[in-house]
Amino acid sequence: MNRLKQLKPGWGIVPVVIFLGIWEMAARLNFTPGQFSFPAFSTVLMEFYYLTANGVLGDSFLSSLVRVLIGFSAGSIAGLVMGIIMGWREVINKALNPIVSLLYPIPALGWLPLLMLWLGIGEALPITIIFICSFFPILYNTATGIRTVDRNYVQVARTLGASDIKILTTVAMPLALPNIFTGLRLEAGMAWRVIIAAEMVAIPTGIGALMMKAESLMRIDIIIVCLIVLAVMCLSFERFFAFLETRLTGQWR
Amino acid sequence: MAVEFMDHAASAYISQDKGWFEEEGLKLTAYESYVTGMALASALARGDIQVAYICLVPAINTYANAGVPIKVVAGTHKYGYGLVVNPNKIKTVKDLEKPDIRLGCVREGGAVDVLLHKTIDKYNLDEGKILDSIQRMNPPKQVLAIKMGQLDAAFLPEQWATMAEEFGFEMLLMSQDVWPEMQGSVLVVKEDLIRNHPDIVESLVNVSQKATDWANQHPQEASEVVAQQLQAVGGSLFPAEAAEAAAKLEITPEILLRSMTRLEYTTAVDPEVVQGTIDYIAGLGYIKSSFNAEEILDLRFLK
Amino acid sequence: MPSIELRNISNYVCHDVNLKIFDKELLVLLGPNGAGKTTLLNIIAGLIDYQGSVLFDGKAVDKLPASKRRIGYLFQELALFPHLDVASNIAYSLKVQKQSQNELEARVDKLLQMMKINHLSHRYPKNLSGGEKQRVALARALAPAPDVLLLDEPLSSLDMQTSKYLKMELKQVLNKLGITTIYVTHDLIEAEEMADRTAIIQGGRIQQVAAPLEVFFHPNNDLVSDFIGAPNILNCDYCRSLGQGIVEVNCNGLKIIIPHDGDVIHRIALLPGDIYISNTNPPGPQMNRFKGLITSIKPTSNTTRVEVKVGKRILLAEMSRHIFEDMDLVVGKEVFLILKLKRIRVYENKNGR
Repeated sequence: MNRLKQLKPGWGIVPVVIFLGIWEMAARLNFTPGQFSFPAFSTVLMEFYYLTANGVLGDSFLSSLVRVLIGFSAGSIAGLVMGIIMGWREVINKALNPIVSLLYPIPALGWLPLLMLWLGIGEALPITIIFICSFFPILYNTATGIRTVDRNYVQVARTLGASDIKILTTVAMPLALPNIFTGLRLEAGMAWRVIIAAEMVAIPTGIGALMMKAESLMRIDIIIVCLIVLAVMCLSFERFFAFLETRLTGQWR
Repeated sequence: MAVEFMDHAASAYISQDKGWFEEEGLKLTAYESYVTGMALASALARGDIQVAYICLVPAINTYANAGVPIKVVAGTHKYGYGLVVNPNKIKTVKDLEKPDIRLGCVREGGAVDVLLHKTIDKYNLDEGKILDSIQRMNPPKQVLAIKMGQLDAAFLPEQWATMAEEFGFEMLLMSQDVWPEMQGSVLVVKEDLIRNHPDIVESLVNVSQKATDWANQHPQEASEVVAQQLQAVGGSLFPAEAAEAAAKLEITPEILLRSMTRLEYTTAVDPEVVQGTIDYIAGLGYIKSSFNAEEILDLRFLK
Repeated sequence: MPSIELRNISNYVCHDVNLKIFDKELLVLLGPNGAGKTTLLNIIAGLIDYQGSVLFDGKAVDKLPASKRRIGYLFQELALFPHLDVASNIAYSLKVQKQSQNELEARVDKLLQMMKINHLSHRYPKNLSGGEKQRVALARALAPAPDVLLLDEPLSSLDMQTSKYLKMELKQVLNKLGITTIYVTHDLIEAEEMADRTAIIQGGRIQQVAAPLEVFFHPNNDLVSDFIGAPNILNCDYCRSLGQGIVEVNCNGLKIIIPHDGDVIHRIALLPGDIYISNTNPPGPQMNRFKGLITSIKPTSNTTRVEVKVGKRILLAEMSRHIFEDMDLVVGKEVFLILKLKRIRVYENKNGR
């Protein structure tokens, strides 16, 4: 039993290595659909190096990254603030809930045509899309987190002399953190997926745009490089928030 | 068989109309039209199509990037691309550098895009400025955009370039001005076909030759035939996004007549020009490295 | 001057509650579940709406919100803040009142000392046992030195051992601090052991307020006596110490041997549930067993009460319905009664205790 536990951390690598091995072999032996010659993993790595060296990947990545950072930060902060207000004051919640419920289910990309007409093609477009994609889920999760804090904690805090605002900041918000972090974690990854899609459709720079260029040139290796970058970024962002969550709530969860 | 939805593939359309494929004993199990060379190229790569009338540049990409085993067996024409502009906004090529110019062009990987770069080279234009003002869209969308006043200039293949003139645009440059001896579209077949059925390939080349000769001799009739074919095909075979645009544009024989005079229909293929093209797009980074033109050419069937 | 007074308190649970609690008194609020005990506490604390008036030291506090009424409230669910460690939980009220760090730490230390939980100061509630949680919750409630302490069933979720222990400590602490306390429970024995006075509440109304034994022996009405459980009370005509902590008493002709340290016993009481009926004479020492005849059988909602005549006395025994059904008892049948020794309550004075 003990030995199994010891082996575990290292073993996570093994399936990945096997997968890469199969990929490499399949590519070299041409086991691929249609008549495309699918690039081997080694080819993809080389292209990765090449694209980094000549700055193309760096530029595209930076464009996408900046958009995600700005859009996501703005959307999260706005969502948090509105979520706290809506979660804490039932009156406001009742007033705004209908509108939020209508807008929340619209997928972020659904806003694209409308925004393209209103904002044109520029930096404002992807940033706004990311803003929308982050704002609603985080608002929802924050409001839910605050609303579902056990009433007893609020009551007890009252008897201990805390004012409403104090209760909000010292009891409700900390206890709502798990919900809030769930929202942040999910949307961080989502933001990346959305930006790629938006770039593929409408915007000439960024990783998504690079993928479209590669598609019309039939450079599958570049497409795969972009996909790897996308996967790594999604993962990193999600992991970052998971880490933050453990840091802030690990002791008492 | 697959063709591009342009008068570049005139010989195919003519042959189809006149039933010359059947005459030579060729039965087409499929006849598909694609709006751009790149779309055709990916269809070629996916596997079902064995014969295509496709612009040279996407054909090279298919071979070099996707590794599809194809061979160019004949040409269809030289030239056949142009830069059309709004004469009020753009008087010279240098005007393209102006900051608020909206320039239309197909996506990277198309012959038109290569022409754009050649233009930049020849006239020493500021590449950064030009690339910043490009809006990427396929030809029918560009023409529609021109009609709605949303573009100031566009690099287009024929017959779309000539169609733009209907909406007040003027042809500022033709491919002849920028790229002498530019190879337009070519007839490609899958290597397997040559190996297993060389007779079929020979028949194909013959039919193409026949159609090309006929088009050169009967320009008036040719334009009517092609117009009819394009109009007929346009309705049913477009993918949704182009269909709407195309539906709003009429392809008349008059337009085609004018358009076809801007191409030089010939089945001849100059290996040096092909090599030059390969080297150039390798320089642009479209393909990873240059290769010998011989690898993609098999001109034994041309007489 | 009474310390807390409730005048004509009514809401959807309570009806016309009038109650006076004296300064430094420990009043036990006793009643079955749903009687309105917690509601009354919430009213005093200012957490729910009500009609009528609550007065602290003669001054009406109805307009004061809960955060300003200066009460310590120990919830039944405890509600320790899960995201704060023990020390921070206890310090919460002090932080909220913006006390200086030094004062705060000193006070927290004192409380940790008093509740004997110094070693827990950095633990989080999720790692505390039931008894430990209770102590922390109490410390937290006492931290701001409230004028009034409200305890809602503080021992109900604990096992016997912990509960016994905590009861003792609680009594010590409360005695030492001398805070006016209202203690809610549904357990008679707790009430008896902790209270200065007991208030019986049933159906949202106060049924009786008196010292516990007064209530026990002289219930006001049927509601109260039903709740208390109609104990068997035997006056002892004669008692004799047999040495080694054993006393023999004679009550109305019944000889009973009881473990007891003193040597004067005036009365004993035994709840009906602590008298067992057996069809046959069970094996073992023939002590504290009596033969008798069943005189009546009265079923209630989930128990059966059986009256048995033993000598000159009638004793009331109670058992669950299905045990009764297994036993095949009828009026007039001869049965054996066994008294559960441990549960015999002994009263040395004429007035109880």
